[in-house]
Amino acid sequence: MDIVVRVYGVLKDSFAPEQTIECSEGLSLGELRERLIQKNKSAAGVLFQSRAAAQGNFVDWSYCPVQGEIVDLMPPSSGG
Amino acid sequence: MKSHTNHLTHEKLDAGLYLNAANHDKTGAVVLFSGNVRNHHEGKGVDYLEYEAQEELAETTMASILEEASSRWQLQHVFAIHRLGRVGIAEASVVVVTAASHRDAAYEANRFIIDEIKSKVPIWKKEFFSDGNSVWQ
Repeated sequence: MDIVVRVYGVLKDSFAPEQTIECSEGLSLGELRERLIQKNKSAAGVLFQSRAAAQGNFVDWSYCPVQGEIVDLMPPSSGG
Repeated sequence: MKSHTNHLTHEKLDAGLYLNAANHDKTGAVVLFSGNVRNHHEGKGVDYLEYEAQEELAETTMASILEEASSRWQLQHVFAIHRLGRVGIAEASVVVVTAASHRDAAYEANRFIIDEIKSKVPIWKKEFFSDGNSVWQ
């Protein structure tokens, strides 16, 4: 299945702002995070501090996205 | 594209307008916090900032923060708005207004709101330095 992964802030220095990732059903966001770290190990620290969201709601890293879902990976906030 | 939702905008912030909107007959104290873009950071010159957000979540998170503050401090008026996109030096990037019967509540609620916005709302800024470099904060 395919999911769309969007990243923000400093994660854009390591990954495309939006990418479609092919993965197997039942893949958790934590496992997705590991895949991303394998692609870019320098992003591990930020990814482990990041929050995740799916379809506009915060979710934890055990969440398993479904076909076509949009996943947001969000580093620590730096607004203000 | 220009946009303006309840708590996010690409337009310049008008603190005076937001302050006037806080007037209420029962209000004894109004506190307005304006977070402005300064021209330096850790000894380096800054030309401007750019802000981005996960807008859907930023909206709902800010609304939740304001609702909590309003309830905890019995506010008569509460408002917060954050800029997105490019923000120039001396321009406000965020404004928070709180109004209550007494100053303690207005001050405490205002401080709570800006601290929560900075730590919880999915907004990110990128600093563009005078030397041509830029960095996400």
